[in-house]
Amino acid sequence: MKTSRPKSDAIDEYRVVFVPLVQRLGRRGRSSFRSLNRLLGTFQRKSIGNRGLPPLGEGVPITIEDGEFAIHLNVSGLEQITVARQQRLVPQVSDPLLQQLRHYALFEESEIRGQNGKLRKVVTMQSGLTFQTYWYGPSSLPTHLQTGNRRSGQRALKTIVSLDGDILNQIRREYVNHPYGYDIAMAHYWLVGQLLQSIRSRISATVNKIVWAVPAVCIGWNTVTNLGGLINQVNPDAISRIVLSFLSFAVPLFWEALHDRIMPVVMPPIKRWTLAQLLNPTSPFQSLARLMFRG
Amino acid sequence: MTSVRNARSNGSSRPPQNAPVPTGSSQVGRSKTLDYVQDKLDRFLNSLGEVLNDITALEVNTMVVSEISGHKFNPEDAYQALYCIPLDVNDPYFDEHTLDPGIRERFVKLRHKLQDAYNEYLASAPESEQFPELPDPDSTLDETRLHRLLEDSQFLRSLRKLRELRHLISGDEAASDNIIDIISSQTIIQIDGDIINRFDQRLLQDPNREFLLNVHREAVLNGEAQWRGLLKFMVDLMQDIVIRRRNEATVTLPHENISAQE
Repeated sequence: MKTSRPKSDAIDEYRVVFVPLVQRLGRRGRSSFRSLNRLLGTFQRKSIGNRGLPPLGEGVPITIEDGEFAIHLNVSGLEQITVARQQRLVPQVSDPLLQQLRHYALFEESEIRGQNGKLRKVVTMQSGLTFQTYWYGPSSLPTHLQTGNRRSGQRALKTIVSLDGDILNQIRREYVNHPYGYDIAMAHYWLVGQLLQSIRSRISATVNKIVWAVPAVCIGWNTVTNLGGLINQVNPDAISRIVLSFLSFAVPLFWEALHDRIMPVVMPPIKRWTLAQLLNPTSPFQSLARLMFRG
Repeated sequence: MTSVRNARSNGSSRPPQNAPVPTGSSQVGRSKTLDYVQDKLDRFLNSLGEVLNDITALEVNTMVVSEISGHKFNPEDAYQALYCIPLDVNDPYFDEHTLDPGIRERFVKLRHKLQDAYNEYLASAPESEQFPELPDPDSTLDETRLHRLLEDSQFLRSLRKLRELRHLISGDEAASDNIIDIISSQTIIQIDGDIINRFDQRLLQDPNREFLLNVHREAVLNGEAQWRGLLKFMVDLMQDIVIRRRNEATVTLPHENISAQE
């Protein structure tokens, strides 16, 4: 879940809790209507936390600042991760955090000083995804984890994962002889691995959402606009319009039937267009492309 | 499983890099912007293909450091910091920065590595950008060339690693004989299954060697999982973007730069 924070903050703050693997995956649907099942799976994942086993502890906060991920650990958070590893639990990564991971796994945003000393935003391929772990000891974590509030915490580990297969790990010297040093290092490596393994491409999911949203909007609009006429008297015209709107479900049904044939043809140009917009910071379609890419 | 192959070895894989860089929507025409966007996309897809093509090994490095830098990576600042290092260890620059002779050599080594990274970039750069010298960040004449360089994915990856090493060498406690701030353990897992472990000799004599070796072992085990997650995401994305034809084995990306076989 995304926690509330002051509007002036330049960081995003999330929290991961630890659940059994089967709970994170949610229930599987039937093999037919795959895109609808995937769509429903998203809602199941969001609501299943209340029906399944309670998550372990309060979870561990993760912040994102300038494209770099920071894990904030105190003794309580460390114990949760240690138990999660022993019991083979997995972090339940929220959709907003997944979206950020997906974006920064691929793209890097920086500013280059151009002519007249003006800064120009540049989007390039990620040169090294960075994760840092802050250690706060037995003290409780600050309410909001923006940089100014982290004085009680210390950077203990840093991992830079490069797409070409180079991984650079740094461990601060104090933690070599630290009573929690080994556990902190294990927690850091494990959580980074879990986060990276949760990334999946979701552009297709967005297209599925749009396709299923079309009939939903048609039915909703027609029902609302014609319901008034039906309350007073039976109006065949209003009924026929509502019935016709239900026929708009033919669009996603047609989509489902031809899903496997259409997707390989339709998706590559859509994905190329999405990537092109994301790589161009001045594109008027940046927001739409971000929505498409993040899924 | 799809294997991706590109034609980088013949030096023609990189798409033309002479597309204009828009400085603002009001100053450039729509067609120029479209060219720029297309060029950016081609270069991005090409870089992604190159990364997948160049992957021959997973390399996990573990370092014990006196300080972990909180500075965010800025390509321009990182380049400037590395470019200004002189190639001569007797240069007054090192006296001004009161750097020990051992550290001077390590600094000069970093500067050479920056040149090596640039040379790799040149190997696939267009003819119009074949200048043997690194672009000077203080020269307006080199500005466009520098911007091109700082948008190259492969160069950026090298720059980020060199920047990390430069910061570590700059640390107050870093010295050439200090086990801190050097790569103490390195494991390379090659794609053919060979595994190479390298340990600094001083690490093996260190009283904390057991801790350091255990931490490195865990870093390698988890590093494989970390990288696998990232790699799977990239391969999936690449497969989705490539136009797959059901009855044809070979498919082609824009500009016929990369081909994939199913």
